[in-house]
Amino acid sequence: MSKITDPEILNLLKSEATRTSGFEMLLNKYKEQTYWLVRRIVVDHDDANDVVQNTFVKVWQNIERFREDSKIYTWIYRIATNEAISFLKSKKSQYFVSIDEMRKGFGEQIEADVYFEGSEIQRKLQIAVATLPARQKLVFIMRYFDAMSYQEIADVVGVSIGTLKASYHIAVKKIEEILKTD
Amino acid sequence: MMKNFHRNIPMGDDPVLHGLDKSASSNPFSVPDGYFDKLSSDILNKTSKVTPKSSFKLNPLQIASIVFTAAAIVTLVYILSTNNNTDSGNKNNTTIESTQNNLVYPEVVLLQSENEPVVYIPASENNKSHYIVINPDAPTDVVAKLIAQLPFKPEVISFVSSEYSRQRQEYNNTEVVHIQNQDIEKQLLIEEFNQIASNNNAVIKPCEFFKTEIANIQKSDIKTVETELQINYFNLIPKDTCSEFAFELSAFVPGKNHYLWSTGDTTSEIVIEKTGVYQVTVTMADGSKMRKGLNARIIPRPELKNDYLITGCSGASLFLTVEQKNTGYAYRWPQLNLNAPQVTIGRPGLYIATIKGCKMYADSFMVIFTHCDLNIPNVVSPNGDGINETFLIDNIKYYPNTELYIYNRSNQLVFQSKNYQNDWDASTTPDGSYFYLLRFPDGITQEGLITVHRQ
Repeated sequence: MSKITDPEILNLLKSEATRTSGFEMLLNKYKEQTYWLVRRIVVDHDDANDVVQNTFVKVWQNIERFREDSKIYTWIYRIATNEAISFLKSKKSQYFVSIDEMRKGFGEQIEADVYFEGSEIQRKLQIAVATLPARQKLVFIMRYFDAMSYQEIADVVGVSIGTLKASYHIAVKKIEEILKTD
Repeated sequence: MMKNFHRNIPMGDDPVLHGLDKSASSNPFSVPDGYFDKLSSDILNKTSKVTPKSSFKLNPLQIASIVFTAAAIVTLVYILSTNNNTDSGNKNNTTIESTQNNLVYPEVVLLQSENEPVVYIPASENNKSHYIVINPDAPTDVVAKLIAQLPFKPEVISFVSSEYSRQRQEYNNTEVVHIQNQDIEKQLLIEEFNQIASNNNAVIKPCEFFKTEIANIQKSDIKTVETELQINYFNLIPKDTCSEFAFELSAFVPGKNHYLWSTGDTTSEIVIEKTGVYQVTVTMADGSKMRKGLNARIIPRPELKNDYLITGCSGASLFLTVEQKNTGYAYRWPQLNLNAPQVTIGRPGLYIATIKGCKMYADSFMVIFTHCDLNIPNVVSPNGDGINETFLIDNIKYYPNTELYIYNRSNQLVFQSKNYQNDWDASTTPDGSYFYLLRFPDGITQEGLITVHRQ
């Protein structure tokens, strides 16, 4: 079965009568990749679930505002990453903890997470990623884990490719430092 | 001869992450069985209760440029397919056959001489505008004459680059691929034709030169055809033009002529990077001179703001600002009937601003207001230590009859009050994250996350 294309989905979304089924197809096409991106950022499954649900509710509410000069998935990613980052911010301000404690917290969270099946090195890497500032974290996750192109990331994050490359470079250096000291 | 104005960012290799092999980038996470099916139904459940925000009639503005680009690309591809069946029987047929509106693209070609100086593509259901494609190899006066004869309103006029059509003629059977926007080498406004065809109120849009790659052909295979360009670019110089990029302007006149620009350049083409008035004097071989001026505006595309949701405090007003880096923009807030880059807003709603540079762009903001004097905590710890024992909202007493709803992760209501008095102590609620919704008597709602945490 061939996958439905984005223009077909957008056509369905344009008309009131077919909007719901169009959204359902959009959801089925993009829910998994959106979930995995968000999961990388927020780590916890329940949190990721909340963020993804909010993301798609916003996608639905704002579907008529989608500017057709960008790809639909970069638009969804943009909403998802904004949601995930603001979620992390609200979580951080909730506990008033230092970065070290935060790292510890993430580590414990990952160890306690029954849905984390990674190796020791993957666990360390997740903890290191969790300590990065928001933009570096996004760029690193999309580049390193999702192998997205800088152009695609630029479309999502909304900054120039030059800035992204710098962010990625700094992120890689920081993660190396953290992996070395552990 | 053509210069490339799109400076490519050098794509070096990514830094290597030392100390990790590539397997670390694989996915270490998993999800509960059947999770993604449940996710769909959860989301559809939620979206069935809300309707998308209403659209405004501004959409055409936002997509006009895309429609144009798409039309131009489609046109180019279309030209290729018609080039394949050169019908010499129609060689001298330059009369316009019909302009029935119900004919569907691309079945009708009104003009089909050997060189196809002008191709007319009628409007169809998908594409609301008629358009015309002009072959730059065709003599200018022939093209002008044909356009003047058109009994409809031309929307877009595109030139196919001469180099391209030459290659095309030599390799008729090869498929052409990769026509990308990034490859558009330059833009030129041709408004001269506007006057020629103005008896029909023609709207003629900027034409674009496409750099194209022809698949499976090695460079050495392409015979360089050193024929002189026949097009008289001098005649095509518009009085006024606007571009989002630097562009190359040609005043080329066939023959051995001297060129002198107001910039001091003596080449037949100059690159225009700045807004200004440019003049060129062409001295012909016989000593006669031609002079023309061009008012060029270079206005880059505005950067639209990323922030869509704007939150303000009830009782106060807030500012909405669109990009104002370039003085060449014209701003408009249709709902407010204002023309400033910044406006003051006192009411919630969706606000649209249009920014006109060379083209029209639209930006929009969703403005909501909250009660900022309320300090809503995000944690409740009912453990008897005297801190955060109840969900204590400062100043709630100024908002009598405020409704509070608290939901758990499964969207079950765990607490509700029609007149909240700081009396929820979470004593019967297990630790975890909850969602609260406050509905004030004035219609404002505020929502957020609240954590119940006993230790």
